[in-house]
Amino acid sequence: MDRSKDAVMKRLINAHFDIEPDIDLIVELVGADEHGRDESIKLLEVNRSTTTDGIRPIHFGADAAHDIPFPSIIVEVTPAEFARVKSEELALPEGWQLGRQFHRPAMAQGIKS
Amino acid sequence: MSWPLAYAKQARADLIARNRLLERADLPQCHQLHFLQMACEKLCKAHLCGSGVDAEVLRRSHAFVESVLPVIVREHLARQTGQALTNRGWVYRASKQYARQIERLAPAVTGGGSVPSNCEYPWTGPEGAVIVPAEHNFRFDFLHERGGRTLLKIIGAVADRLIHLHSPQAS
Repeated sequence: MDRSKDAVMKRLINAHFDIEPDIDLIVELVGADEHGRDESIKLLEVNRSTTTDGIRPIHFGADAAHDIPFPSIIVEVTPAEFARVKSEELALPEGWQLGRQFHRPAMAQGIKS
Repeated sequence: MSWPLAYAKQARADLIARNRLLERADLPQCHQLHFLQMACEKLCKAHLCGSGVDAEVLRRSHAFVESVLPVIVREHLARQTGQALTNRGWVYRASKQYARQIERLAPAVTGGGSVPSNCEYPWTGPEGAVIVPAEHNFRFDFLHERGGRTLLKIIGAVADRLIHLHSPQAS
């Protein structure tokens, strides 16, 4: 199994599309030192069912049971909040930027690794 | 400083400490879960104190999370939508399941003796084996279960809201 950070990130994205039916878009969040050894996987998840509470990074540890050798940080936002993030009305944590976007796959086949 | 404010501030401090622990891949899950249990317990006490319950009574007790955390979540959801639970009812239902699990992380809460596992002290498991929290899989999976991330976000948001609500400058 590919245990590169990019591959692990994509598996996590697929897992979240599977378990959260109201997530339509997941965006990679890129930090200033993204290739640092201890840098977490960071995802912004646009969830129609989440609460409107601004940018609240939620931390998770590495998870060997699910083949996730990296810590991760998830930021859940509503679609309206995502629009405000894109227009920079709502600020991401310092040094973080929006990266690649991953839309919910049309079929249950997941995003490609 | 009022008791609701103090409990809410300490809950937030516990959550921040938990995040620091999660940055370390080599630490057992019991430690970050311990801080989550403590944060939730204090959040519930902040809520109860703010509702008029005697702080001294709360200080000596620990079994609040299962009953109070879902109430906190429900109120937070209601504030969001301006009405009772809408299609976020599943968040409330998930919070009830998580709240039960979180409460049982406390060593003082044993489910009437049926749940000896806790995130702080070793306990006697099946067949008399002594079990160490640092080596135990508590089977919490906020990352891979529906609603896990949302619940954790709500816990942090409520702590901040209670701090703002009970801060002197807010009155």
